[in-house]
Amino acid sequence: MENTQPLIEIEGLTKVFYTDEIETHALSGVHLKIERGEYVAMSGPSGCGKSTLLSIVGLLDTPTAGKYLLNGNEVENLDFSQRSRIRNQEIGFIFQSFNLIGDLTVYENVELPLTYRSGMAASERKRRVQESLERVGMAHRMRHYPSQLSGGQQQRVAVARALAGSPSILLADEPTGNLDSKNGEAVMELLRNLHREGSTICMVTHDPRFAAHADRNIHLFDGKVVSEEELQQQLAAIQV
Amino acid sequence: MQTLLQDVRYALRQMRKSPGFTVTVVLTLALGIGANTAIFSVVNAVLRHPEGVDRPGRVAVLHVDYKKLGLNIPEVSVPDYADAASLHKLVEAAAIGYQSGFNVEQNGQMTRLRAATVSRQWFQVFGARPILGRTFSAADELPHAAPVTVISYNLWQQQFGGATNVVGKSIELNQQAYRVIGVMRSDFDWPRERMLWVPIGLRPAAFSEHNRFNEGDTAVVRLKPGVTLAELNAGLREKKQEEFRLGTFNNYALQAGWSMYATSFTKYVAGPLRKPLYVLFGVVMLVLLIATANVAGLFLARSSARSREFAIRAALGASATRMVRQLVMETVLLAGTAALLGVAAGPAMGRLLLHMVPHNLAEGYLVRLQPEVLLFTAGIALLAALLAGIGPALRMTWRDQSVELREGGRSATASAEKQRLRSAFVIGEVAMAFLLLCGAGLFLVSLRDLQQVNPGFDAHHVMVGAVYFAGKELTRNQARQAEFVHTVVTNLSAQHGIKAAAAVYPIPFGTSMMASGFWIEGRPLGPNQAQMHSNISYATPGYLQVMRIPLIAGRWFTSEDRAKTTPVVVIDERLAHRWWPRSNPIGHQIRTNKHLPWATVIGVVGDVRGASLEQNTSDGMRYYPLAQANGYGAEFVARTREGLTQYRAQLREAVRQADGAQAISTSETLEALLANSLAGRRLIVWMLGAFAGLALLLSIIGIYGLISFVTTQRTGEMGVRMALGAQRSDVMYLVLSSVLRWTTAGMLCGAACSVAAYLVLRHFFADLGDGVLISIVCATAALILAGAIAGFLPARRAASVDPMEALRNE
Repeated sequence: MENTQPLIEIEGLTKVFYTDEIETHALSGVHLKIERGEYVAMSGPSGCGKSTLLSIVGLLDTPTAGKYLLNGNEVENLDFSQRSRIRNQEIGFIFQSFNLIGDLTVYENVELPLTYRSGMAASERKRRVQESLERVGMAHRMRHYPSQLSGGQQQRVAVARALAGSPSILLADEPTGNLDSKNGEAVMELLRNLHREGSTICMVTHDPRFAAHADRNIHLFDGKVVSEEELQQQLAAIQV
Repeated sequence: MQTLLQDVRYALRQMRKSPGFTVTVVLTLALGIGANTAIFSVVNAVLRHPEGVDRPGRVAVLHVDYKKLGLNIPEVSVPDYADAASLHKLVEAAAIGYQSGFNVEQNGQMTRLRAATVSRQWFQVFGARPILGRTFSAADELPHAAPVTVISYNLWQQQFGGATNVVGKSIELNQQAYRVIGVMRSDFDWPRERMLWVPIGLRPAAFSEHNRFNEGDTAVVRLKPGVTLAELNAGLREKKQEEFRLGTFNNYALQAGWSMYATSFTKYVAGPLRKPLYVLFGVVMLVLLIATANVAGLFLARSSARSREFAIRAALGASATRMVRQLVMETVLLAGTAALLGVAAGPAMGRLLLHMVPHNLAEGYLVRLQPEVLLFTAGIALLAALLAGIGPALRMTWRDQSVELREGGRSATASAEKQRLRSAFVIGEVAMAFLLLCGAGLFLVSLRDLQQVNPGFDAHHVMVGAVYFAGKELTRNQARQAEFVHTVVTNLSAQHGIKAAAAVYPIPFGTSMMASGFWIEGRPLGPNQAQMHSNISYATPGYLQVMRIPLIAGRWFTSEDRAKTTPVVVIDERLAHRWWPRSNPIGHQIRTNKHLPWATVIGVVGDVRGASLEQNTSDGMRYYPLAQANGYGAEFVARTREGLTQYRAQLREAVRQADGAQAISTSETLEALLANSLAGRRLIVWMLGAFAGLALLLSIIGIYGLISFVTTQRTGEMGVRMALGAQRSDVMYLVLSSVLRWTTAGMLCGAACSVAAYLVLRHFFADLGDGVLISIVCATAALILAGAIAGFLPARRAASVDPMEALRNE
C-alpha cells in the first residue's frame, strides 16, 4: 500500500543557541511538511536559520523543542548512533563546498556512505556506485582524485555520493554557492532531472533564480517560516 | 649582520610567544643531546683520553700471539720487552712491570697494598711526573740498592696525611723498610688502583733466551713523535725475522706460530668496556635521531600555523634563503638552549653511567667536561638543529605561496604533503625505537642464556679470598707454603657455617689465568707440530668438593700428594678427549718442561670454564697439587652458609692464626666473579633497555603529535563522514588504523634494520644467541601497545567531533 504520510513533518520546532549567557533563537516554532517526491527550496537572508533548519532535518543537529517525524517516525530524541544510521539510510547530503575527501578517489568517495552500512556486499556497493556516477555523468572519472576535477565535476560527484545510498530525501545546502554560473546551472539541471526521476529534494539557497526551480519555496526570516509577501515587507523594513 | 641580529631577535620573540612549543622542543632535544654528551664524555674518558697519561695516542702495549695455539696474551717476557726497547728509531721509551702487592700493618691488622713492580722508564712512557721527589733511577735498580718506592697520591694522604716532607721517610712493606723517593700525581693510576710503585731491578738472567716464552709482564712503549702503531708493528715483525735468521729462537717459536705485536694503550685499557661503549654510542645517536624527528614533526605542525605568515613575507619580497635562514636561526637557538642543558647534565649523567658500570670495569676513569666534549656537544646540537629545522624550512619556502594567500593557508593537497613528511618522520622514529627495543631484547635474551651456561662448577654459596705470600720465609719455601695453606684450610673448615674449604690458584673467573705448554711421555712433537698446551691450576684436596666439580675417572688429590711424593696431575675431560681420544689417560705421564719431573695422570674431572661464559676457547686444564708447587699465593674457597662479610672475618682470622704477617688481598663471592665476567653484557642490557624505553616514550610522543595534528587537520573530513552515516566507532577505527599503518611501516623498517644489526653484532659479540625472533615479537607488541596508547586520545577526540560543528568550520 502506498505511504501517504508526509516524508517530513515538523511542528513547533525551536532551536536556541547559548553562548556566554546570550540566547540566540535560530528557529522559533517552525512548522514544515515535505511530501514524497516534492522539490522544496528554502530561502531567506543570511542568518535567517535556513541552514540550521536543514541540519535538523538532516539529523546533524537536534532541536531545542518541537516535534520532528521522518517517514512517520519521531526522530528528535534519538541518540547519536541511531541518528547516524538514519542519516546513512534515509538522507543524502549535498554541501556547498562539496566536502569530498581529498585522499579518496571519486569511486571511493561515492562508495563511502555505503561502507558504513553493515551487510552490504561489495558487488552491490560497486553496482550502486557505478549507477550513481552514471546518473551524474561522472562514471568516466571514477579513478580520479577530487583535486583533479573542476568545481562543477566535484559537485556532481557529491551528488552521486548523496544518491548512492538511495536516500528518502536529498538535502542540498547552497549546492551552487561555490560554482560559477555555468556549472551552477548544470548542477541545478542535474537536481531537476533527479526530481523528475522521483527524488525528494530539499534545497537551501539564497538565489531566487535557483529557488524558482523548486515545486515549492519556503521563506525563512528570523527563524520563522514566512510567506513571500511577509518576507518582502520585512526586507523592505530593514532597508528603510 | 643587521639582518642576522634581526633574525635572532625574531627567533627569540617566537620562542617567548610559544612557551609550550619552546619547552617541548628544548626538553626533547636536551634529552637527545644530554644522552649523547653523557656517553661521549665516558667514551672520551675511557677510549680516547685516559686520565693521567700524556698524549696517550703515542703509548702502545706489547702482546704476544701463538697463532698455532690460538693464544693471544697481553703480556710479554723480558726478552720480548728488550727486543721492543731496542727499536730506537721507533721507540722513545720502553718499560716493563707487573702488578704486585705488599703487606703493611694498619691499625694492628695486616692489609694488602696493591703495588706495581716496574722498570724506571715506566713513568717516562706514560709522561707522568711526580708532584714531590723523583721517580726511579738506574741506581735504584741495582741488585743491592736500598729499597725505594714511589707512592700514590692516595697513599700519601692516607699513610702520611699529605705531609710535604714525606720524601726520605720510610714505609714498612712486607716487613722491610722502603724509602719514599716520590709522590705521584693523583690522576696517574697505571696499572689501575696501585698505591705504590717499586723498581723491578731486572737481573741479566731475566734477559736470557730461556726466558723468551715466560710471559708474565706488561710492557709499554712510547712511540717517537710521528711514528705510527703500524710502523712499530712492522719494526717488531722485522725484529722477529732477524731473530729467526740469527737462530736466536728455538723450534718452539716456529711450532707455536709465535709473534709479538703492539696495540694502542687506549684500546688495551678500555678492555671489556670498549665494545659496550661503541654500542651505546650508536644507541644514543639513534635516540638523538628520534628526538630530532620528533622536533622536526613539531616544526612541521607549527609550519601549518605559520604558512600564511611566510606567504606574506614572500609576497613582500623575502627571498627563500632569507626565510630558510630565519627558520634555521630559530632551530639553532632552540638546539643551542638544549645543548646548554645537555652540557650541564651530560657529564653528570656520564658519571652516573660510570657509577652504574661494575667497579671492575670502571675503576680509575674520570668523566670531566673537557674541550672535546664541548666541541662534540656543539657539533651534535648543530646537527640536530639542521636535521630538525632544515626539512620543514625548505618545505615551507618551496611551497606555492600564492596558494597560501588565496586559500588562507588551507589547502587539502598541501596538508597531505605535510602529513606525508610527518608520517615519514614518525615511521623513522618507530623504526629506530623498534631497532633499540629489538637490540635490548636481543642482549637480554643473550644475557639470560649466558647466565644459564653451566661453568662446570656450582658457584652458589662459595666465597673466595686471595692471599699473596709475603715475607722471605713464605715466598721462597715450598714446604712452608704448603704448611701455611694447609693450616688456613684447616682453620677455615673449623669455622662456623663453613661446610667445606680448600685452596686453589688461580680461581676460575678471577683476575689471573695460568697456562703453559706440556709434553706427553712417548709422544715426541713432529716438525712444525704445535706444542701441546693447556691452562694450569694448583689446588688442595678439598677443591672438588667445595666447587662441586665432578670426578669422571681415577682420583683427585689427597693429603698424601705432597712435595716429596710422586708428582701427580689431574686433567679435565677436554684435555683427556683431545690427547687420549680412544684411550685412558690415567697412568700416562706429562711434564711442563724438561727441567721438571714427569707427573702421572691420576684422574679426570669435569670441564670448567676459566674466564668466560660467552665462549670456551680453553685447550683444557691441568690441575697440580698446591702442595707440590712453589707459588705466589693461594685463593681460599669455602662453601658456606654465611655471607661474605662473615667469611672475610673468618678467613682473616684463619690467616692470622697461620701466619700473622700475611694479609687478605681480595675477597668476593664466586657468583660475583661469574657476574663480573658478564658485566659488559649486563651494561649493554641496562643501558640499551633504558634508551629503548626513552625511544619508546619519544615515539609515543611522536605518534601522538602526528595523529593529533592529522585528526585536527581532518576534523572537517570526520564531520563529512559522520554526516554520511559514520558511527563514532568508525571514526575511531579510522584514526587508529592510521596509527597502525604508520606503526606497521615503521616496524617493518625497524625489523629489517634489526636483522641487519643482528648480523653485524654477531661478529662482535660471541654467543649473541638466537633471540632475534622473540625480540622482534616483543618489540612489535610493545610498539603496537605504544601506538594504541598514543592514538587513543586523538581517536577519541576525533570520534567525539560534532559533525555539525565540523561542517560549519569546513
